Amino acid sequence: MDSAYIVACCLIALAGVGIAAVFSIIPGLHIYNVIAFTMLIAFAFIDIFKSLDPMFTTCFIMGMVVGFSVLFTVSSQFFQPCDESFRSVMLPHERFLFEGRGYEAIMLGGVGSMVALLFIAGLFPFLTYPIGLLRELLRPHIYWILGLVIAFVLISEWPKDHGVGQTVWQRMADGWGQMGMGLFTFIAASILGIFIFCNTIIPVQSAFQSLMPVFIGLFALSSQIMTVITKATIPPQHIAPSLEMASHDVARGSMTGLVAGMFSCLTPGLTPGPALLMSAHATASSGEKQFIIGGGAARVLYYIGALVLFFMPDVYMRRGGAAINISLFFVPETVEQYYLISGVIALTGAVSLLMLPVYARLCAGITRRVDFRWISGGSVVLLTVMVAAITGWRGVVLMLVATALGLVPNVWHTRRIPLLAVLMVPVSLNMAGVGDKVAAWLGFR
Amino acid sequence: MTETDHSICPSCGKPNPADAKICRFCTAGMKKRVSVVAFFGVGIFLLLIVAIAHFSAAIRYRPNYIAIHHLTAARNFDRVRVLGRVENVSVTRGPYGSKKVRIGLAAANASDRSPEHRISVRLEGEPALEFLAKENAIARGDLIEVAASLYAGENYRHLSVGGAQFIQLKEKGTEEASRPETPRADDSNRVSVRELLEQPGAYSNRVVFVPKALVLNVSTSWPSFQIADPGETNRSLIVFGYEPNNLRPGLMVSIRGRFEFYAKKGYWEITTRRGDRRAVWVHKEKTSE
Repeated sequence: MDSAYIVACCLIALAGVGIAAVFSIIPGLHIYNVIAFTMLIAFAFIDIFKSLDPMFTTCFIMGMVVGFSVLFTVSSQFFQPCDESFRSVMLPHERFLFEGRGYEAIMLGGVGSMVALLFIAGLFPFLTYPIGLLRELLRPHIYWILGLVIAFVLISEWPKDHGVGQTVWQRMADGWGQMGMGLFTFIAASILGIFIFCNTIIPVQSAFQSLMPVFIGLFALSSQIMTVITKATIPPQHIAPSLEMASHDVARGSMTGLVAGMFSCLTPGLTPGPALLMSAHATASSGEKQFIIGGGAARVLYYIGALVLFFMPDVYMRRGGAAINISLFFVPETVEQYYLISGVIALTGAVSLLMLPVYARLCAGITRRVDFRWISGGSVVLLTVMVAAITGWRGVVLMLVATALGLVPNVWHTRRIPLLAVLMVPVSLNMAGVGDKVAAWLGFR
Repeated sequence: MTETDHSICPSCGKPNPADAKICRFCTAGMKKRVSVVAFFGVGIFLLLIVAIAHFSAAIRYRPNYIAIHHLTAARNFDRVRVLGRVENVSVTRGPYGSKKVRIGLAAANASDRSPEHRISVRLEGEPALEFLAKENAIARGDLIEVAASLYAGENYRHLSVGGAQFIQLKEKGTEEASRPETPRADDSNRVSVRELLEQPGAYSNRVVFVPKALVLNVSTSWPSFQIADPGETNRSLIVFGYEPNNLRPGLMVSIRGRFEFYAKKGYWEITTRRGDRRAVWVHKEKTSE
């Protein structure tokens, strides 16, 4: 592999970081949606696309994924406040925002991201054998591991905001009502997931994005709608020159995040959210700072680590939307390619981390000048247009159904984690070999 | 509060008493803190070092090629990288019309032409289609690098190229290397198809050389073709074992192989030795279509 080729790959990857930085400012937009849109454009100009070296396109996508996984937290930190009614389910970074510490929360998440990037770029090359072995060991057991995660999600649903009713019956109704809606969300998301896994209604040309409308509806659009109607106000954000964190916060938070990240990137159907919830118990992490650092590490390891497994010699595991999109035009072959990809990750990771404080200052500044509701409103329009363009009107219908379901936790103030049943339940059932039977029982086959 | 009797919380930016250890607004610690610039500076520096190390490894990496004669049953199922020179390339069709590619590979620098220095490389399905779609096709005499899985047992040995494996052209072969070898002049057991069929017992299980035969039929699914003496097409023989991708009916060929009785179907045939480059040689002149 010659140096000019490597330089070209690096420049293209840095262009990918630039594109990710532009799109990361839109709250609710996922980089996989941007990649899907990129692929659609590529397929429209297939002659030009085919003339490109597949490694260049791969590095471009890699740059986008790295840039996005580090930077996208900035917009979700500053532009998605929840109002007072969400106190009981408020996450630490939301509390930081209301204390004027949004910038500090972003940088704490950046600490986790940095540790995960060092882990991926620095240690993964030495872990190819254990990771391959772990993957082979886990492969036959994924269905029941996912089953345990599902069980954990269900049993950790608890009544919140109860005890404010006047009578015993009112208090019991409040408690059970909220918990019941959590379980309802789980069951409805499971049924929706089983439906889209066996009966996708998306046109065949967009079949590679069959899950996209559902994910946008469940997670992006519903939260953006809630942001548009929220009564919350964002206080001025302070640009902290230093972070309040002890070495044990970094160590424990990072360990929690790395365990969650590895767990989610080796387990199909599992996302960093529930994985972080479980690993936080496993590593006995505590406190908001550790949670935020762990979140940053888990997210980066999930997005980038899962993609690296696609290039890792003797593993070649296709996991996550980015790997699936890359596999449409590129098959990783050599060890040199793996070194190149690892180098590109380290370089783009360093550049993304360099951009993080500047980006956070920019977004903090935007919150002073522009009402965040307008940004979320724009995001709703953009996401709808994107779904319509990629998946047609059928995709929009699917997205609307998913949005309605995604609004349930927001309206009833329950956790959003049961919504992930849309992925976990069908994957678990299919891996257990009963997916078809359950789908037939539900009348989907 | 004046400048001197208060301190600003580094986390939320609100004023606190000068001796405050914890911010009274956000409860953040105000004393033991880590500089953003210093902490991220170290991390970014480390990432850049790692990036340089990886790029350097990508440039300097030299694959560990395994010599063909070391591809034994002990390495069965291993992913291996082999450097070798192409002896022949053949394309056949499977029972469902799918194309299969077979490449005869010999050790790059070995003067020894024994079977242990040769191996067959197989491509089927998607890798075969990808190989055939490449414009700069690999031909006889080319030096190629193969990353493939080894399948080796007691009586078999081949490389199979699957997903995430590849064949790369390292050096185009010279014109001389790409020319097929002609049979040796001192070939013994020269015989015609007619002589073979009239006295099969006399040649049974012996290596024979048919200097001139006409190709009648070429199989699309098996490595076999049918030959006859020129002008005597009513007596024909099957030649088995040679991928007939460069043959078509009407060509004149020379054949070297073992004359054997195929008991299962009950006929005599010439079986060519696998990887024998001199097994079939196509004459330049074309007699009839």
